[in-house]
Amino acid sequence: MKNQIKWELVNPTGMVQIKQLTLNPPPETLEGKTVLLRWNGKHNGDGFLNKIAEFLIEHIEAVNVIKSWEVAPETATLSMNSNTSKEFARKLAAFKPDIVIASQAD
Amino acid sequence: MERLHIPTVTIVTSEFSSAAETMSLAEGKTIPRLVSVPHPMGMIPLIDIEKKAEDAFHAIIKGATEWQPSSEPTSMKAAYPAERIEFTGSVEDVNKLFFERGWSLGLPIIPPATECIEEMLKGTSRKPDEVIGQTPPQMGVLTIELVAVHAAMAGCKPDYMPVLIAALEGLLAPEANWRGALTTTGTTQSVVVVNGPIVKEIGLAFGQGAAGKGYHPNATIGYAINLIAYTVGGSKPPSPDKSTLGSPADLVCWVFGENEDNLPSGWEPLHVDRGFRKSDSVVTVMSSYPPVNMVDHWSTTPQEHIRWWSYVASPLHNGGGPCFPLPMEQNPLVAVGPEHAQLIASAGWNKDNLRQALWEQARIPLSAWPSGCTEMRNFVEKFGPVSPESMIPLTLKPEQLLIVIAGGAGKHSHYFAPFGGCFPISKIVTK
Repeated sequence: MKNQIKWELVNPTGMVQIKQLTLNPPPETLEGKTVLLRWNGKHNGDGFLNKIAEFLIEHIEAVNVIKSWEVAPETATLSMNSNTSKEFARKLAAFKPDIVIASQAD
Repeated sequence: MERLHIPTVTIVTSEFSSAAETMSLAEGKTIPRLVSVPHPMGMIPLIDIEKKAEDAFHAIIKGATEWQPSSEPTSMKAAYPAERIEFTGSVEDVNKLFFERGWSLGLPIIPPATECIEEMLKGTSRKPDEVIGQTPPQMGVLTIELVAVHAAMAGCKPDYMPVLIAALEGLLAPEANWRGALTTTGTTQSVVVVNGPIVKEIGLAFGQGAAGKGYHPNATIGYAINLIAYTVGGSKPPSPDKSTLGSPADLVCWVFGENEDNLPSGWEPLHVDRGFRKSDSVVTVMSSYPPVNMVDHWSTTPQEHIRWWSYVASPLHNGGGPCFPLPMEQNPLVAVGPEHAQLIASAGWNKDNLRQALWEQARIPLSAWPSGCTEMRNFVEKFGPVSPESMIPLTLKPEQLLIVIAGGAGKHSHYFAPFGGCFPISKIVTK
């Protein structure tokens, strides 16, 4: 039998301490709502969202579609850090969307 | 957006769903509204993208109107002291236990016994319950005690603790974007450059082969950093660490001292360039792509040498340019071998001359980038009007280039392109 040692070891993983985020309730319908499509600049994300925009307009009555890369082109890029992410979020929130549909591509 | 009270549906590809969940849990302990589409979305024809959008539309509408959140219960246990585990077994048994629990990288570790941690903590005056940050991507709380645990596991000596702590403080700064580097599909690594008296005090290698094998402080500090990223930060492949290939630098990251003994006359070391006093001990960290080795056995003038460099160092190394303008605002690291440095300095050049020459010459035409580059508008805003013949430099300005003298004899230098969004951070070493 190999050397049997009685260890008192320290758990290396640490604690994850995160304040719980409560997600916002969705709208019951998108009719008459403002939908902001957010593209992060990754290849084909705009193509995907452009098609979603077409379908929204075709199928949802009185929907208002905003494309982030048209109204705030500086946000059509990877934010890369939490500060820039917050800045982008604030810029897009200023358009007062009822909901955001975000494309990550890759 | 959710924090701004706006419900959000996020489209991810199937390969990244797990990573997206992990990252979202780290942001708020809640699984977000995710709609998965078959991977990939990039680099495929538009007609295929439009078909994916059509197929996903119903799920997107459902996510936007019917989806209800689920969340894990929040655990707010204290971060200090770390849990103690009673275990009986051999050293090999401890290694097996730790690996099976995801607490080691697969290389041997030294069991972090309580007495080892107590000994390690003697290497710093910082209190063990001090929190130095939350380690991405899962935002594990990193205390000084936990740093000591991983230092012990990696085989560090107590007097390495101040350098290790300073490096971690740098990596945990928001501007360092360590989270991005630890979860990207790219092949990234942490790079730690050490300046000042601490280098020789702890025997950190700065000369021949300094970033490689056989140097105890360099190897164990680099191992400890990556252990922390893995166990405390949760950066594990295949998710949330999405590195396409990974690299050995995921096991032991780059750690070396600047070769201040071989600075050409009149050249200041990196930490002085960055505003510190020569007598300060400083750690500078950044996340980069693997370096390119610049071999030059033949140039006899700096002009020839830099012209050669211009074919080796390229903005394409990190995609900087119209595909991804942000890296052009960042700081590539140019690790000049002492012999190359002497050649450059022999003509009366200083570091600014080197920066200017490299910046002017290491350029490639805009036409080299793929036609599908998506950020042309942002690029033109930062850089100005361009044409396909425009020659794109490494950075917006030459002063962005960081220059260190690194390594020993030999006619090699290295170019480290920074990972997107990762800016270098310098921290004073405190004992």
